[in-house]
Amino acid sequence: MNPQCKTYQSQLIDILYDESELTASIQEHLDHCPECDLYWSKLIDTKKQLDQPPLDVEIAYSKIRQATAQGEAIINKRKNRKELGLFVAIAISIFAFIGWLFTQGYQKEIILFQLTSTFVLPIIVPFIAKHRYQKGCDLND
Amino acid sequence: MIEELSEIPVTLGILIITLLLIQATWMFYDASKRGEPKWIWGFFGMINVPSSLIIYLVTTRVIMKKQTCPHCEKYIEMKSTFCSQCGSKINEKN
Repeated sequence: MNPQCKTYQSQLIDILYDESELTASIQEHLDHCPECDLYWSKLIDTKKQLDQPPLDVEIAYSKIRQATAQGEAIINKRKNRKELGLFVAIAISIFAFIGWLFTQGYQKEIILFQLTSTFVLPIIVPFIAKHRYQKGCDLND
Repeated sequence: MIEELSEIPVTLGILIITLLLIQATWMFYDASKRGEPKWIWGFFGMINVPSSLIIYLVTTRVIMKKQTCPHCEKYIEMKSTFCSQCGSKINEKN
């Protein structure tokens, strides 16, 4: 494409949207340049297609919403898997440390903590229930 | 009795730690599936076996029971008219 055609073609876009006029010089160029003439024809066809009224198709918004939700579910699943791996790694590290403490003579303390928490932890259930009711059940993250 | 605790074999410690790890991992996985605060429940599961698990099950299955959306299959609150995740209408039968 020669530089002159490039200039004319950029002007043709303006003409298509009535931002400038089809001058005699441009018309003459179109008559003699098959490449620019083809470009102009394509522009007109495209505009005709765009100007057509939208198809009378009912958009199923609920289906779009469902598809979006399903897509999000897949993304969340992948994210959850990664976070589960991270959690297991953290948990193993913590328990490895506790295991090391166990071998260092802290068996008594660890077992006492287990026995105590067995009876103490159930006390917090009413507080959890109260907190959750107050929060409006919206605990999704 | 407290003095006797000092003589607990290491195998018992390994058993408790293994059970805690399995319990915490399962609680984390289940909480993430149900839209619960998974990190809190995961670490909670590391405290005690089996109290943590019982409290988790009571809280999620009894106190704040949830239902699944028939359209997107996410957990939503009971008696919801519409799904808070995908916006679909929930039938009362579900």
